[in-house]
Amino acid sequence: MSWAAHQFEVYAIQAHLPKRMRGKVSFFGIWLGDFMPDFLSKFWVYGITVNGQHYGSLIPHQWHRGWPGMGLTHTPALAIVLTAVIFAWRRSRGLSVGFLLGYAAHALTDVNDSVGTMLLFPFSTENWSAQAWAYSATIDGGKYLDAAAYYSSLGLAMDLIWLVVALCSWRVLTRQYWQDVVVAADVRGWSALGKVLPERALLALYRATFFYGLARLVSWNAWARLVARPTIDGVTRFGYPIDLSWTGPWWMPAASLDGVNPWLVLPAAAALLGAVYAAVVLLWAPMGRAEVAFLSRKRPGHAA
Amino acid sequence: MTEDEFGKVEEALWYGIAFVSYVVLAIWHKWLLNWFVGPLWLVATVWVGPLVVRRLPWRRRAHAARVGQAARR
Repeated sequence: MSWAAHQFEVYAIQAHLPKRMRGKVSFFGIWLGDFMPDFLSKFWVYGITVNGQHYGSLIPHQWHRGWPGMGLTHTPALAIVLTAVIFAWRRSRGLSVGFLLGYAAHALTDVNDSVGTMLLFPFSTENWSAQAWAYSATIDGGKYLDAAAYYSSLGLAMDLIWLVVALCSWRVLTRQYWQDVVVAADVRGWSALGKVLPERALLALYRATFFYGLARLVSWNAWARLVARPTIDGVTRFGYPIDLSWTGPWWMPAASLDGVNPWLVLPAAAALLGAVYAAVVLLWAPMGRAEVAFLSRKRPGHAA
Repeated sequence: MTEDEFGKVEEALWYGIAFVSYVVLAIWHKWLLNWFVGPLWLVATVWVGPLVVRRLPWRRRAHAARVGQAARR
């Protein structure tokens, strides 16, 4: 799985929207779409222990990304279905398109670990995995071992790449951008929040996902490098060893599921990303017309 | 500048305080690192922090002195 990458990609998407969609695609939609796959599936991956009894998935990676399991939550198919439901319900093009882009980004980023995602579900239940780093969620190791393995592998590089992409578009984090583009795309949502929060809190709320991503990246790394004293192969070490080799780190067995040839995965993910962008561009105008028609019916005086 | 805006330096300071305090505490208290507490930490620090500082007795006296000085001018 990916960690802070999912927080940074929200801002990367916001910054790289097609020109005609700027100021019209909902940031809340992008955020909701990007977080939805893990909202739906991750609570049971580590599970909880109450009075010595563990409640959670028996095979975390099967539950999280497989079928049978909650793997469908990380598929483009569910992204399309949920986007259609949101559009049918709210008739909001900006919210729906943002949701689809965020959801697709999450599912495509997660192809990089050793379990991957079912990109062609429901036509195929094979997982598409580039196997760049070990998927490390286990019942015994929990979140700690998972974080240690992720931040000792190419997962760390993935977080840093997304951080750099977001920072290269640093204007997306400025007050001016928030006011001119983000609020403009979601006036009703921000106005509703503005009734209970002052402007500086609203701006902090907009930046909060980036803050959280950067904080967890630094904090988990500091813990894994400076605080943890793991015993690996009978040797107690000062911090978890970093291993940037493919499917690393060497000290963590990589979980996996039946999947396609890893060489196919990155080109397929890039093609799917292109397909999602193309679909969004093609559907933008028809969705806008449907939204206007809906608003006209709802409020007869509404002008396009 | 609206009433709600605060200077860029002060703004950066509050974001810095939020970041350092959250990261340092979270190294030893991992339960803090979650989707709910993280964003809430930032919003609370940046929003509530300045309000608390402005209500400190010595800050209020300094503010009153500045206002009085401005009025005399």
